[in-house]
Amino acid sequence: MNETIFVVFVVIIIIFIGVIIFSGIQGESLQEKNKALRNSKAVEFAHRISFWSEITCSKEFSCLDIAKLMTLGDFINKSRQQDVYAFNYYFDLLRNSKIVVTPVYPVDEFDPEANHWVLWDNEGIKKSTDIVRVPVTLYNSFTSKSAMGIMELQIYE
Amino acid sequence: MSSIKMREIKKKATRAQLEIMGLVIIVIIIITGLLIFLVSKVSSPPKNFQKAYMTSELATNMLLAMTRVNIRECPDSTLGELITDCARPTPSRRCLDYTSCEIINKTINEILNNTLVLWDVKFRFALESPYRGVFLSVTNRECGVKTPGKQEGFALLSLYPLNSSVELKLGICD
Repeated sequence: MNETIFVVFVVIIIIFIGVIIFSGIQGESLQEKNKALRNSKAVEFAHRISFWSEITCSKEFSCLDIAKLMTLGDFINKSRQQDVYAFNYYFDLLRNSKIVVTPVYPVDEFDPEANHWVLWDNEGIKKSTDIVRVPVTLYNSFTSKSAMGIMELQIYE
Repeated sequence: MSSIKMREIKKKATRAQLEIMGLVIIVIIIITGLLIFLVSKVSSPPKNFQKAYMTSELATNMLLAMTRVNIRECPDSTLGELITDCARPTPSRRCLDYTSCEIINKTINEILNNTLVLWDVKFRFALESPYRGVFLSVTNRECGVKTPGKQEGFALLSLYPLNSSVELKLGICD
């Protein structure tokens, strides 16, 4: 009788450990899947932004006009300081995120950090995605020359 | 005396049978658990589609943005124009005493070093034309031609008036 109780006890413990390990593995993979899904949504989001008429160049797609980029960045910053409707409009679209465009070629060798444009900076509490990078063409309408840049997007909770 | 011994032997035999039964049950449960685990792992989709989508998007956009860039040494030419010149049987363009092939080699390496190499991405970049074969290849962190799970972006640039084109390939292995 004692042996039977012992065997049943051991079996229950084994089943219990198995369930814990299995749920742990499933939980981890679920978290990874969620993160991948959020990241792919962030890529879609970044692509949508790169097609905004406020910043795209008129001649090509996946191309940002530097002059428009600077103007929109300044406009959003000013409207944020003055707390006017424009900031709320962009907040509805961009929420808690940070969007920075950095040129990668050609880079100003004397001051590589000089030319980067912060389009939106409204950091939340916790990062909910990895940094999503979208290569874009940066068109300078004053010189009619194109450079290459990276649009970096980070979404927060 | 002998009947008591017989009873003890019987009792011991029953106990031994019970123990064996217990062990068999444990072994069966462990095997069943392992089988369930293996089946769930094998039947789950092998590819992470979100990641594949992200990497192929990155590769395609990278190639698109690269080809449109105006070159520092040759401000009136784009990288795409110099690539098509270098891909021809006899490249003819020169900028600041450099041939088009030397400039594209230098520029592409600079762009890749400032982006994918900096981000520690495993990749293989190659330029291929029917006249010169693979005339430029850059690899980072052993990303081979047949590495499994590689996502590839590609672009074609026409070699007009020749009836062919140059192929730009960027495979990302991560």
